[in-house]
Amino acid sequence: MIKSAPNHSDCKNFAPLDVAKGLCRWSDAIVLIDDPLCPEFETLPKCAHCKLYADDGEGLGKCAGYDKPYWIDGNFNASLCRYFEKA
Amino acid sequence: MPATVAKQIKSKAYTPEFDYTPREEKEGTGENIKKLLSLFYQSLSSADNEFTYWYTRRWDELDGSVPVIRRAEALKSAFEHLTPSIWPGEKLALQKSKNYRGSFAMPWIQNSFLLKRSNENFSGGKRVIATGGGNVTSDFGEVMSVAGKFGLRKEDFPAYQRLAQSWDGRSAEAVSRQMEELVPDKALKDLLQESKVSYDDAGFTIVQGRETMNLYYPFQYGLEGLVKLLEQKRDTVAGRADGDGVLGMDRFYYYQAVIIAIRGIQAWILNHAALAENLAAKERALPDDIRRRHVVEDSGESYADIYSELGKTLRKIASDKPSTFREALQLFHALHIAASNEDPICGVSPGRLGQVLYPWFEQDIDAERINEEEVIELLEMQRIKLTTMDIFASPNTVGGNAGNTYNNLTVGGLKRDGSPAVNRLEYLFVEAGIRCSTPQPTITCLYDEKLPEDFLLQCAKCNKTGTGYPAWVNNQTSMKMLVKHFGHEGMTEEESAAAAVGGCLAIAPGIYNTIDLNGRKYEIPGGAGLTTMGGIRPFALPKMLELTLFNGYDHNLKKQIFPPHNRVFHAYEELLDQLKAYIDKALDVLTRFNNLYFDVTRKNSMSVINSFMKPDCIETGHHNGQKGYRYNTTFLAITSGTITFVNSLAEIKKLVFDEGKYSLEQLTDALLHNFGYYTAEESGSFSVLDRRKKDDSDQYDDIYADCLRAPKFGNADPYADDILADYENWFPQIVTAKETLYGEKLQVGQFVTGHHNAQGGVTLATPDGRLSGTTYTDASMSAYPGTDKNGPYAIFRSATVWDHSHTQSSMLNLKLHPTAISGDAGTKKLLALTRAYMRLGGHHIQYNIVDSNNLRDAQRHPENYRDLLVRVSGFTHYWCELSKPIQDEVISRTEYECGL
Repeated sequence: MIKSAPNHSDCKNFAPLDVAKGLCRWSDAIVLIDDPLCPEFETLPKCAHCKLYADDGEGLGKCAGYDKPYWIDGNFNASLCRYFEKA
Repeated sequence: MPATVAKQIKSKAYTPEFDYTPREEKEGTGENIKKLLSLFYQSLSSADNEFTYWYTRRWDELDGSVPVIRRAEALKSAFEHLTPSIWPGEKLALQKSKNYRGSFAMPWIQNSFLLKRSNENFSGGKRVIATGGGNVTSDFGEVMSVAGKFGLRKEDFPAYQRLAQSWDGRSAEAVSRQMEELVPDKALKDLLQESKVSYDDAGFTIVQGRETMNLYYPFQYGLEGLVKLLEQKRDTVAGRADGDGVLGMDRFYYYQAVIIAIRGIQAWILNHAALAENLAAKERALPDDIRRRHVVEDSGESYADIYSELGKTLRKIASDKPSTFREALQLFHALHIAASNEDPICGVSPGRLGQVLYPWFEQDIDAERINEEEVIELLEMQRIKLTTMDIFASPNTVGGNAGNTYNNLTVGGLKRDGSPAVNRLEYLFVEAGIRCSTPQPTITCLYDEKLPEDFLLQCAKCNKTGTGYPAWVNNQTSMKMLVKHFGHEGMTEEESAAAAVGGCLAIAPGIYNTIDLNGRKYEIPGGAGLTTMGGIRPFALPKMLELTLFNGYDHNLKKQIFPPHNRVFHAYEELLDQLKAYIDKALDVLTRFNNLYFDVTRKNSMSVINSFMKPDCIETGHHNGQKGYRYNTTFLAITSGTITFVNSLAEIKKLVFDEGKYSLEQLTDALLHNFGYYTAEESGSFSVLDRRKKDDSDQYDDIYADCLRAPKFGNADPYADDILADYENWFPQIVTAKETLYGEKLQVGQFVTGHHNAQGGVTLATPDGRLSGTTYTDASMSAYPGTDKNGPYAIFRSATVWDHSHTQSSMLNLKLHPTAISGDAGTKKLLALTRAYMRLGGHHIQYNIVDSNNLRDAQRHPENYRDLLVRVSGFTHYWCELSKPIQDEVISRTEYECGL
């Protein structure tokens, strides 16, 4: 399910502690994931941002990277994906 | 308090409701450790889908491939895609997933529980998972509670659901369920599990664990050197059976699978190295005023330098043999987490890590590359990292173990030549355990008369801080047991010294290997045995007695479990014969089904990672499922409620058969009516100290009083003790007549974790006076609370009327008031107490040093006690993460204040 808006866990400065909060490397503070974002927000590459991603309309998507096409969650961090191409 | 907010540690301003004597103060730790520990206290158990998704995707891509290759490729893909996370100040990196306290589901093993939204139907129904600490037991905000304990982001749920469903019909659990339909006695097996005589702990719950790791190959060769060695072996056996027409050809696939898995681990380590380097560069680019803030307060170390050094360490160990103590510790930690991510694992323990790491420690100290304070800081960091581990398994399993991961670190013992194995590093491991008290790793001291007195006193001092560790295990008894159990597989007295404790209390067999470091040779011990998770765990002895007394009928379930025996017992021996017959049948059925489950699991989910470190997998080319490990007689029937059972037999023998004061019908009627008291469920208290009598009932007063007065274990009373000795003779005979899937004898294990709570919850009142629904006696050699009237030495006498080397790991918990052992004289007294039990041949003893009022206050005001630790059974745990029945049980244990 693609999020309607990014949150703190989508930021490059965020070190996740758990499902609710993490450490903001920019402010040195523990922030709640769903609190409002700050101007320093820097987005992580997500599968949904990739040229090889197609939304399947059912809350998940299709990834055309790797050996065989397969379903994928567009929220996944794509920074380790060797096939990631920004759409 | 909102669930997202950090739970607080007791504030200095807090005034307890109950007066209590605190435990002895421990020495403080540094700011860096305090900060990292504080992050843990604030963290919730969190699940995400990365590992699960990439494993499943790769597995599906390779449909039709050789199973072990497919398994290794799936693991590799999962490790490669784990988002790396490093937190400021960390000098030791890598954890199970991206979250600080993260974990993930493994639906290829078990998927049925993943989508259940309620905790109600698990584990006999109730009360298995505590609501405190980091447990996420209800939804909040954008977070859902899954599997009874873990938080999952709502946006992650569709993928979580799809992954869980995608393993329908093909998980180890699903295939086991399909195949078991064909096995005779399926209906009885289901009834036994429904009645909670045993749990469905099996090859599809916790697959590996309660064993110890072996670091020889990666430490001797480094990961890249090991890959080269494996390539040579693979090429040598390719296309050759070499006389083994069944498994000979499989060696080729296994060696290739290990290479693939190591490549995945290397990528995972290097991803963290890259992150550390990136963070170091970012730190250095910060404005001066910020950079000046980014330092460890007391040491002045900059985060930039810490990240930079961490990056170098990780890059080095991803390929090379470690050169320094820090690198060796980091490589161990990487492999420990890697092995723990291979399966739902509980207790793949570090083992004799102080001896394994000693070569690097010694050479670094000699060369002044590191000092002892720096070593202690690293060991404290290791404690925090291991404490952040969660096990993602079914609530049955997690609840029974309170979610504990049993990373047991063993100190003490002997070397192969019979000299004491204690070294300076082991002192520091204990010191780190004092300064940074956390549940993981728990510590066990292998007690031997030859160990240095100051080391033993250091261990006793650690006990006094209330950590519950080290547990004390009798080295000589353990060695004897190992030769008895594993002698036919080659175990010698010399090699039995290499053992360590795996998981809570299983004595895991080991071997010695020789490491070469800078031209010097060091012999290091390491694990060499299969998991002890297989078998029957835990087997509820009081429930078996109940079924015998009630003609095979379970009044809790309202179902006939065994076919009625319809016997009238004229003598105690006749009752015992029937009891043995039911036990024999139950063990036979449960063993056959557990064998099936583990067999199904080993076909597709064999160990690739843990196995490559274990002798003799690399030598033989066979994994754990192919009997590649050196020692395979590890599966256990683990008993629960031993002393409740023994005391109950004593009451029946005395009151019904010897004295004839009551008939068996009168006794069973009293049990059925709970002696006229409210059940634990009705009263809301699971403590034996809080009995509430029904107003209208005095019918059972006499029989209840007589049951309470009858002889009890723990008082050096031969009447009860003879029954224990008799049981310790006949029960192992029944168990060892059963055969595991490895073609070896099933063995007895006498330790229980938390199941004495859940199983007590579904057991009627017992003839010893225990009320319905309350917990059984903890451990296996502990006295029932309040019944031990003659002091601890009488317990020792009672507990040692049988030979403890006969079975795996008897267990004794003792609760001492802090004033009983205060000061240096008290430390010596505690050691003398321990020594007395060991000298009598007792196998294990562990202590809760705590004032029960401290626990009562913590139960009433958990928000003030986030960091309070207690020893439950084979594990130390945060008080706030224990369920109420276990809390009640620990509070009610007899507390010794004097007379030691």
